[in-house]
Amino acid sequence: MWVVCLLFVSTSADAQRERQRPDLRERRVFPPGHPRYVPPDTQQPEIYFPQAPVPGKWRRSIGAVFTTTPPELTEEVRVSVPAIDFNIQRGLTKHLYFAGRIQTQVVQSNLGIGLRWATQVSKRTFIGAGYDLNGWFGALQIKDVFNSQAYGVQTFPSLSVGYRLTRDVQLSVRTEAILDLYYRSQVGNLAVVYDQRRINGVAFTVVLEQPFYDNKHVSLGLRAAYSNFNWQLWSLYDTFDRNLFYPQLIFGFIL
Amino acid sequence: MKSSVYILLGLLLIGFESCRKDYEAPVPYTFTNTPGSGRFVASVRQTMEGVYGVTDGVGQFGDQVALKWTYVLNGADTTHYLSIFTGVDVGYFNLEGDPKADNLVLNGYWRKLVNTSTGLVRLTVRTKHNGVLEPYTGRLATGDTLVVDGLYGENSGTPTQKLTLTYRRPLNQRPFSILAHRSGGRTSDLLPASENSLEIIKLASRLGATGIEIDVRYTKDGVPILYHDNTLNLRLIQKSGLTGPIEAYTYQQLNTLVRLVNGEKIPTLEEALETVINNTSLNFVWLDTKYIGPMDKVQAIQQKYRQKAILSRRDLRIIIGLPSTDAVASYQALADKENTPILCELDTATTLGLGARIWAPRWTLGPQTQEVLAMKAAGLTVFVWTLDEPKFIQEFVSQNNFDGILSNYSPIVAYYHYVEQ
Amino acid sequence: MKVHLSIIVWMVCLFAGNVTILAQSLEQQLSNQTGPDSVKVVSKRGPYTIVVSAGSGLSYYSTHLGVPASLEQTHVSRFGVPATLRAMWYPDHRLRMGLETGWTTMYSYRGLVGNETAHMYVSVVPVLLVFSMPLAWLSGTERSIARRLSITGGTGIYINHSRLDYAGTVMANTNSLGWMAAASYTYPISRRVRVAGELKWYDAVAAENAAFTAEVQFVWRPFSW
Repeated sequence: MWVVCLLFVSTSADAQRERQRPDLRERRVFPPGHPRYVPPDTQQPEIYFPQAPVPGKWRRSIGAVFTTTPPELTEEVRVSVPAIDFNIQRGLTKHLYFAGRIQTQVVQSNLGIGLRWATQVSKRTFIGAGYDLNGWFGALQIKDVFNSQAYGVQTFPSLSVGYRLTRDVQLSVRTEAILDLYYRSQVGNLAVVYDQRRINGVAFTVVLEQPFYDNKHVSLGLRAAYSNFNWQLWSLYDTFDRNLFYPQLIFGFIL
Repeated sequence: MKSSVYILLGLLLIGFESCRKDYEAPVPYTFTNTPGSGRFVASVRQTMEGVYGVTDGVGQFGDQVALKWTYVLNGADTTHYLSIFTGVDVGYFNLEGDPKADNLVLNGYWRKLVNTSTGLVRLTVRTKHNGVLEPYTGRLATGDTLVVDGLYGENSGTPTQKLTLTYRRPLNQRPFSILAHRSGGRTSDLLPASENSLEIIKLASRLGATGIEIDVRYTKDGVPILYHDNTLNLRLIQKSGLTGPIEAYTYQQLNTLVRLVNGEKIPTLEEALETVINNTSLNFVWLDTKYIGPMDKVQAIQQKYRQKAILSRRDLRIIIGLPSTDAVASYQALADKENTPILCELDTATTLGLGARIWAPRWTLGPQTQEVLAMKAAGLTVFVWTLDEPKFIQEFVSQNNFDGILSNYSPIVAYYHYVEQ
Repeated sequence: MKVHLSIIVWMVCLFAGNVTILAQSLEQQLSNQTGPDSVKVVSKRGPYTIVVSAGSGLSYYSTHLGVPASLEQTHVSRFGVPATLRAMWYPDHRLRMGLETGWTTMYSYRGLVGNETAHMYVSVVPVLLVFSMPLAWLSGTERSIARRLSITGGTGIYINHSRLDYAGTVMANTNSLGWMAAASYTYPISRRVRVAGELKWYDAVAAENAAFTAEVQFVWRPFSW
């Protein structure tokens, strides 16, 4: 990780030097009709970048999130658990937009809805704030092993910064607080409920959004959640009152 | 502008990495382990056991606690320890009598197993006579109440916060097995000894257990040992480079090169049972079958130590657990099944068909009240495993159907059992 | 549970593949409908290239190392000679994707137990999904340093191999999740051949094995369309 950080810093210095020369990029804009022509004021396809869709327009992505399980819970079995990840957003005003997200692993799913506000603060920089409400639920019926269900509600206030690195690459950094509102777990006919609001943890997300092939754009990123409870591992009945590390790899095709 | 974004991103990553904590919970107190009980003679110990109300310290330890004495044997010596079980965050105290003090003074530490909270404790046992606190001499007059009070602290800091416990009633006397998973508890709960080690077996009673479950595997040369996982991995052992299945290594290789995370050797099954008989007051050992293959060596050891327990006049049951159809097949392949008590984790029909004495379903199947009552009516003992969720432990204990609970958190099982009215 | 997980992985792969194929065919249909100019635009995309690289160099085990306390007169080696094989798909944009494998020595140690020698050798075989990006794409030519520099990151499985020679020989493997990060400089030799220097960090997280490698790589572009 330090190597990557150093690399980022050193390459930025190179880029700075390059920029001190006459601005070739501005002069090298591709003409209309060229496959790499980008009309002025065009929004790149994006899901994580803090920029509202045009009011009334939808944008969507489909992909997968791979969550690495913490050793405290899965012990010697360290796996990267995939979940199908579907995002949908719709512009409400110039700055405000709706965000919905479904993550599912068939036996357990998470449905989120939220509102985001975003604005441009400089030529390349954008900022945004969001508030998401997520409901998750899971059920396991396995003979002699599980007769269990659980569901809960979490909320995620977030702050995002987006930066257009180049014409084709957008970097987004998001910080989220994870708050638990409700948790209900049932085994057989016995249920327990925790309904106290509590801070569950924090998460940091770094995502690059760019064209991948043809006109297809992708979101590729990492989310580092550092939290007490993770809905994907509800069936392991985490009893630790300490934050565990859940790294996630995000890959999504923007439709 | 661009470089500042990169630097910001780098700082963010560095900051996040820095925020990540390496969790540890070192025991802040060094026990003197003085043999005997000092001023805490049998009558004092007996009268002290019970459920106490908490006045000072409610926020940290809840409004009531259970006090229970345990002991460790070492040859002719017996060393006594007091455990206090709390209902908050799987909290417990481990205390020993202060041999230098003139009064009934206890020193030790407290710990919460769900997190890393711990601290030093110093308590004095007194009696409230006519509303006045007096030194306790071992004799209680009518109307007198025992009060255990003193100070507790955080980590290794000097205790400064008040803790007052006042006797309410005796402990729940209903027979109930508090079974500690992996010989006492999980390594990931940052206990002072590694799971499946001789050291944690000696500690199990002080964590509230009346019995233990231990995981049995074979080395390459056929020595039954205690080890839970399929492979040698850093969750359980110190880094040495050895990887792969533990069955790939001989006992000599493991004994020479491998140490558990807290520095202990991987014990043999014989060493473990020797420790149970010679050093503890545990009355139940559940040999969990983690191996696939012949069971005859484990059966021979089970029978050898059953005889030893009888000769030592120990109330000790050693049971072979059958968690899978493979284990059932190994059991059925035994030439002689006499005096080989088994515990079956499969369904009720299989359990009855095998003639098992104990049925042990998973807790994630729920209370299964009808099945549990039917099995008990058929004369079987019923345990549930491996239940760590405190609220569910409370529910399972209060429903009063099971004969015992296997848990990584024996302190909270002990708490809910002993305070049950 | 493993069966369920693999089903989910395959479902995701199939679904993602299906979506992209659908999107592609839709786009081509739209292009055909909107006139010859648009068709021309679509046909200009590319080229797509398969790039295979193979390399070797020096590795240094760069995390804590545990030698059993029972060994005396110990000798530890943290250096090794790694080998890397990588196949990448270069689409018509900056982001590239591929698979990497190889073999890297992590460390070895030897010592005495009484009069008997014990020797331990640890190596890993990474099997990683990797993403790579050149630092410059739309600007500059292949002569510019930024276009020759690229960063690569990946995640996947490391097969950790250990060989113990003490009281017999035991060879065993354990899989570990892990990741890698690398930076490389690629120098063009001909239309299909490049030479690259790469600095790389391998981290098999669960096994706590990590190595820093410096490699020279032979880069070959066998297919382009």
